[in-house]
This record gives sequence, structure tokens and C-alpha cells, in this order.
Amino acid sequence: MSLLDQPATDIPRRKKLVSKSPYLAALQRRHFLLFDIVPNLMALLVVPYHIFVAPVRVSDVVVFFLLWAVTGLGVTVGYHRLFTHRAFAAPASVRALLAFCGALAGQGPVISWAAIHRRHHELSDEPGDPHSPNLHGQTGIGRLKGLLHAHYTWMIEHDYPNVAHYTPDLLKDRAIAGPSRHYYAIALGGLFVPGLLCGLLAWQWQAAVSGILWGGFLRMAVLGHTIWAINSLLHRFGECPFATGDHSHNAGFVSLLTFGEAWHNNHHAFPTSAKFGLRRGWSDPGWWTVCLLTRLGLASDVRQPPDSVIDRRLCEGRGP
Amino acid sequence: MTADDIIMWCRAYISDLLGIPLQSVDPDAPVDDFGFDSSGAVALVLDLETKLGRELDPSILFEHQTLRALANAVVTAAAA
Repeated sequence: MSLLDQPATDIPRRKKLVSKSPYLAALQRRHFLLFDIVPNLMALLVVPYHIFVAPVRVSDVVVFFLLWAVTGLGVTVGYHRLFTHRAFAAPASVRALLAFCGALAGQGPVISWAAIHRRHHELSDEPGDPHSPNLHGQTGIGRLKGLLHAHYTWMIEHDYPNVAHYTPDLLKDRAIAGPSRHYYAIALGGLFVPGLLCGLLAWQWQAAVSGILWGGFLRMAVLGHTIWAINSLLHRFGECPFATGDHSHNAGFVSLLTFGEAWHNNHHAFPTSAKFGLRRGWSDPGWWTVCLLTRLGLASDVRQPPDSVIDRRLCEGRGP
Repeated sequence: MTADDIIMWCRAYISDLLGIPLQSVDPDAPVDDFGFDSSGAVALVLDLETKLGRELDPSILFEHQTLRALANAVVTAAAA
């Protein structure tokens, strides 16, 4: 009698929440090489290229900031606030556009990204958190290893979440199926197409090369380190106005550079809030974008905690 | 479970997961045709493991493009 012919047991089996296999690890290592190692190495070529080959052009700076903003907002407004936390609702066209802009960042397809991030919130700084810096011991070496893991090396090989458990809502969303399935083409295209357009407009190969370096590789590396620093540094250093039961911290002084993501303790205190900068003067470009979408009639059901709840949580005490 | 049972379970699973009619989940069509990406394929294999009570390699659905090929491979592996 084969194993499959045996009668089903009545003992309920626990659903598997993550998968780990050599096959998935090979896919993860390929992604890490393409989008986490290569952009960093190519970004190192920017300075020697401009010293020895051609000067910096206006188009380099323009394409860098344009793609940096588009991909940064794609990640924080799309991948993070809309798709992971359902902090607001948006029509199919906006969902598709935000999933596309997020895919350009090279941080993974939207459904995988959201599933990994929901698991992070579920287990924040506990065993099973995909990227906590606080699980490698309290010795000096352990704390350093933790930071390196949370910032970078966790992506080499990690448990892959069961999306049927973590993101069933996103699997049913036809608007984001395309950007999710064609993620590699979008992310790779985003590395080269903007720079090639610069080259075509100027009709000079030097403009194409420096456009690809600035608008592709350097831009992806800078945004990558920005988002990874939220995972690493902001689960170790900064301010904790809210008690959240984990090690999430704020670093308001870099809120503009992180599109509002640096209000990370606020975010762990109110994960479903579309607004991370909860107080007047706490700058949050991601929130400003949600407000703009709302004004244009392209966002609705925007969630944010009432001031009274924020005040009460602030009075309840601070985190570690 | 026979191969047919596994096919039926997989069709119902994909129909439910993607919110598409059961009839549209053709066991002889490549799973790509349903808009099923690699994240969904990993989930299906994980939950099929729970259903069968035995380990499967997540690569099985990538190697066997259709549900019928998958089911046959699972049954053959179990009989071996």
C-alpha cells in the first residue's frame, strides 16, 4: 500500500506558514545577486566614470531623482501602505501603477514583498521575523551580526511565506497580477530604459551610460539601503514614543529622505494607518502622496487613528 | 488520494485562491495560464504537503507545468 492510499487521519495537521528548500534558495540567491549586489558594485563606478570618462550631466541628476522618487513612493505608498496594510483603497488603475512603480525598485514582486512584511509584523523581533537585528545575541559580535543580517544578508536565503495564508487578498487582485508576474522584466527594464532614453534625447552614448549608472544602478542601491536601514537601524536605534512590544524606533530627522518610512515606531504602533508622521510637523511624503491621490479622487477609505487614541498611546508609555 | 483526487483538490484550491471559476482551471493547461505565479505555486505545494502529510519539493510544480503532470508525479513518487 502506498503512502497516498493510507486512510486520512483525523488529527488536524498544522498549516505550513513558510517554505524553505534548495530550489527556493537558488531563486533567492539569483535575486540577491541581480538586485542587491550588482547595483552596489555598479554604483561604485559612478565616481571613476566621471573622473576619467565624462562629466556629470543635468540629465543624470534628473533621472536619478525622478526614478528615486517614483520607486520610493511605489514601495512606501504602494507595496507598504496600500498592499501590505490596506491603509487605503484605490481603483484598479492606481493599484496597477503603484505595483509597477514598486516593482521598479527591485525589492521583489508585490505579493512576496507584502507576505514577507506581514510576517515581519506578526513576529516583530521574535524568532521567525525575517529581518530582525535583535536575534543574534547580545554580545558585541552578535549585535553587529544582527544588524548585518537585518540590513542585507537575510535576503540571500530566507524562509518563504505561504502566500495563501499571508496575502490571499492580493492573489485575488487581478490589477496587480501583471506587475507581480512580470516583476523581473519591470525591475531589469527600470535599470536600463531611463538611461537609454537620456542617451537617445542627447544622442550621445556617454549620456546613456551615465543615465543608466545614475537612474538605474545608483538609484536602486540608494533606495535599497534606505529601506534596509529601516529594517536594521530602526529596529535598534532612535526614539520610541509608543510602546509596541518590539524594538521599532523613529528617526524623524531622515523622514524626508525615507518618504516617511523613518516614523517606524509610529508605524508599528498603528500598522494600518496610512499616515506614519502622526503629528503636525512630522513630515511624511508617503502620506502627502495619499492625500494628493485622495484629492484627485484616486484614493478612498483612508485609515488613520484619531488624535485621542494617539494621545492615549503616547501617555501609556514609551518603548524600550 | 488518487491522481484524480489530487487534480480535483488542486483545481478547487486554485479556484479559491485566485477567485476564479472552477471550470476555468484546466488540469491540462500550464498553470501559468491561470495567472498563477511562483508565489502561488509555492503555496499550493505547501498546502498539498499538509493535505497529503508528506514532504514535496517546491520545485515540483515548476518541473511539471500542468496539474495532471503534477498529480501523476506526486502519485509516482509516493508509490516508489
